[in-house]
Amino acid sequence: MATREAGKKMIMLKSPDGMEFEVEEAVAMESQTIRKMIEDDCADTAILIPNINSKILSRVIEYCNKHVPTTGATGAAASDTVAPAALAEDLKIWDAEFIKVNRATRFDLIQAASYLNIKGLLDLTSQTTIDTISDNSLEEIRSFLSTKNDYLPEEEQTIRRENQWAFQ
Amino acid sequence: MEEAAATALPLPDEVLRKIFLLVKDTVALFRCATACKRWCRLLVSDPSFVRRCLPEDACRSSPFPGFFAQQRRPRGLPEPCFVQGPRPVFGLLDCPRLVGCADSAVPLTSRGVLILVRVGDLPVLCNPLTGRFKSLPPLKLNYGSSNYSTGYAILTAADCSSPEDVDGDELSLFKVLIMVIPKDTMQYRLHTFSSAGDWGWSTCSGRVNHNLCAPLCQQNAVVCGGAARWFFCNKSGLHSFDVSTKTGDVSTAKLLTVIQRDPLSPKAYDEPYFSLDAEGRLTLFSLQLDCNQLDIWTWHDDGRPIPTLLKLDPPSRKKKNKTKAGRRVEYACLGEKNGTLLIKDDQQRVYAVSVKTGVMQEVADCPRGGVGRREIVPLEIDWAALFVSRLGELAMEYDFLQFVSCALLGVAWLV
Repeated sequence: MATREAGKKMIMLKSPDGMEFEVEEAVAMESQTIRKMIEDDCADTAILIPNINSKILSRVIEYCNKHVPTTGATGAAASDTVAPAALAEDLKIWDAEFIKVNRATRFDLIQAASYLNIKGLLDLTSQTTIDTISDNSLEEIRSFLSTKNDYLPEEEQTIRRENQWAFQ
Repeated sequence: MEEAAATALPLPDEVLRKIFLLVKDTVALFRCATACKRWCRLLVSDPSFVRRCLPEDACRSSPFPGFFAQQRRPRGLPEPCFVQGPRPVFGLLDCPRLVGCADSAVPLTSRGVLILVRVGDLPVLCNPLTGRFKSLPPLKLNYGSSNYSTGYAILTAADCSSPEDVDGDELSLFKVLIMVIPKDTMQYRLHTFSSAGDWGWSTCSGRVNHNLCAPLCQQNAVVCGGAARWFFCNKSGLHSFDVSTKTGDVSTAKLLTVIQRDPLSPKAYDEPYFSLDAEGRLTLFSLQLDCNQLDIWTWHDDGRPIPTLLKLDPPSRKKKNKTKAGRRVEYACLGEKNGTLLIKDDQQRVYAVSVKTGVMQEVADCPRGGVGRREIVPLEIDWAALFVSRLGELAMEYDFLQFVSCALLGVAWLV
């Protein structure tokens, strides 16, 4: 409610590498983490987003801009002319384009979505990760989801020997 | 760029859980569990979570993983093998682990996660999931002789006693029934082994109504309605041969009389196969020899069978031009489990058919030399239990290490 009354209240987001992004409060509040900060009044000047570099942060903002509910002053006109189903279809196509990034970026996006708690983006990035998991070898899954093999060689050998069905 | 991901912070548990929940692929999930110990613990420490991660068809109490069959080898004795389900793939499930027994184990019947095999004269009841088994006293029978019809049944603790007594160990309380019916006499012999009784087989015999005598349709019994039931069909219709699970009393019942559009006609249909549906109702599968149609009869609570006809699309129809003129490819039903019917054609190709949709998929890696209905038993695997059984120790070890490191931190803090 506060957002709508204030029209376009702006919020400053800062990445650890020093870049600043001015975004509408409504857009920033797509992130539950930021929403909480704003609601708790911890965000008077600028919000520093740790762990997320400017490149990823700009993509995240791009996503939130697209996905912010179109119920505000500008969105009302749009939702009158475009049917909701068509709008959803449009978003889907946009999402598919958006997630066409290399693996490292996708991983960074998962992390960002997880840290900023943006459900839609987390769903999108997780879903695209599944293809990686289903189609790739264990080594690739490990490298992609950033985890290290901490099994002893003999432990891993035993697992593989006893469960050949999973490793063919 | 790829390097960057490898050095990044690990994903939080809840994000990993979210991803695992979306995988819906048994093999991929298992691989994930073996990626590192933390993932293993995430997946394995909570069986209900694994269950939610697994694909839905694998989540029902007992998914279709494949069939246990005997594989003929060019030289030497046959060896047991698992026929893979089309998906999830289930390769050889560690046969050496299975019984620790010789290659010559012959599958006889299965029930739940248990499978009864025979090694020579020695029946062995085992759980392929855990590798635990119990050898039963040897029983000399004319196994495999065409002069005898032999049926097998496994009764679990839940069949034999009140449900409260079941302690979860499937090998602690069970019964095995072996029914032998000679083809030319009306005398049946029922051999019973009970884990609760004396160590040995008790045998009783009786007379079969001579109008009924016919070979059993399948060797594995269907246990439902308080009885282990075998089936046979003759000119007068379809009958069941029932042994009460509580009292051991033997009786026969008529299930179907020969009807107008005869599902049992040997000319058009393969021998019927019996199983239970998802609600535990007795179900008959009758496959047209040309595989164009599958008749499914389900016995409802009022004792009446309700037929359903399922149109199939056999691959031979598509390859019509390739087959020799006038020759019709014939199909036979091998078994059914949890909505998947296994059938084979006369070229020894095996297909899995969904009894809901009629979709047919060829099963790769079938035993060499082909399999018959009597050489194959359907097997259930509780995938969640399999994950825990195969990876539980590793996950626990991880928990222990975490505990130790926490404890060490605690000590350091105190010092």
